[in-house]
Amino acid sequence: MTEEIKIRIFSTSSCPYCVTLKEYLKEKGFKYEDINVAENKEAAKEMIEKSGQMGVPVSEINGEIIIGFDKVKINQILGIKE
Amino acid sequence: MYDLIIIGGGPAAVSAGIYASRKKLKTLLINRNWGGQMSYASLIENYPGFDSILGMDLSNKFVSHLKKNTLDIKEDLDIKEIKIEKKGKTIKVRSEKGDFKAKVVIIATGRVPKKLNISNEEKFIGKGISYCATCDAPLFRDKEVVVVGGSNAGLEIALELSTYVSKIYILVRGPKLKANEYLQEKIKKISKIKVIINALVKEFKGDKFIEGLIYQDKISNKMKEIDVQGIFVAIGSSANFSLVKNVVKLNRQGEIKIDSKNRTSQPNIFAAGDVTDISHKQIVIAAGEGAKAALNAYDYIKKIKIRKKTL
Repeated sequence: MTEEIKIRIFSTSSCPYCVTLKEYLKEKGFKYEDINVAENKEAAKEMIEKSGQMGVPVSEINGEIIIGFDKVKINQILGIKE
Repeated sequence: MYDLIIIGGGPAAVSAGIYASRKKLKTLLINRNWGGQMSYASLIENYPGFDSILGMDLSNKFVSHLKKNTLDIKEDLDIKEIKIEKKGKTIKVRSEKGDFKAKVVIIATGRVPKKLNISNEEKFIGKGISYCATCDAPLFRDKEVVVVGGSNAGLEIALELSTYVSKIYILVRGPKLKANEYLQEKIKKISKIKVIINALVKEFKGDKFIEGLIYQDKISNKMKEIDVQGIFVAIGSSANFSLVKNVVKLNRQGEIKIDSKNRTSQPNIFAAGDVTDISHKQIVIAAGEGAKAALNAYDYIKKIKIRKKTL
């Protein structure tokens, strides 16, 4: 199942919640595309348009947008049981 | 049953954890997240041993150091209640994932940023209003922004933003900036930063995102509007006391009252760091207070053990 899931994380390098989110996914064995919106202006624009948010982190999991480190929602989409 | 439960994840809690573990206390550390306010600070230049380090990097160093020690850690956990049981001999910490008991608890829950409490503030959080400049600054590239607050935190945020944004207005409620001279000198040199004094923020404007802000000039009482796409709030913080407000005595500012041995009004509850009424909230002070609280908690636990044996 895991290989079919596409995860993209929009983040900046100096944001504590972004780091926590990425570490959590790593710990649970999920791979993700790490997009640094501080360097990639186009990606920043895409993130703001898709999420309606000017804050990081934003995740896109199989097309679904998750704002912040919303563990409950991420667990639900990825089927993580704690 | 633990000897000690430490609540918090900032410098006071981490340092308490290291010291408690080295004293071989059976210790549990519980927190919602690591680093506390430290992890949101941009550059830290006053922690001895590190001439210049990112808040998040220092926070990571604290945590990895702590984890080299022997203690139980529950991360990412919300605590519901702290209860004194068995006539004050035991403290029960109720969390969303069960209860934990200890002889002694150290509260090191730090401080949380204050909000402006303007009616539509909540609506625009993440939509132009940010409480984390270090996270979100790059998203405001070439935009005009306001920083509310003229203390050290406000000026540090303005400096951080200045590499990205085109214009910064620092709105100060009082007649002058409160920040230290060093920071004031730094911002004076940056032409895109404008300081507006005697300004009371009244209203946020915008549809989906922030488009502007209305403030009242306290001298003329006139309402003035500025068009900005971002608002960073740095009007200080308040002690994160909600867990213990009915358990220990607080001062008028909501800080936990402690004595020189980190004792609160409840004998087996100690407190350390920014949540307490100590003067000056600094990382190096919080770390020292955490160590002190752990050592004092150790002395207390030792005394109870001796008392039990002699009975």
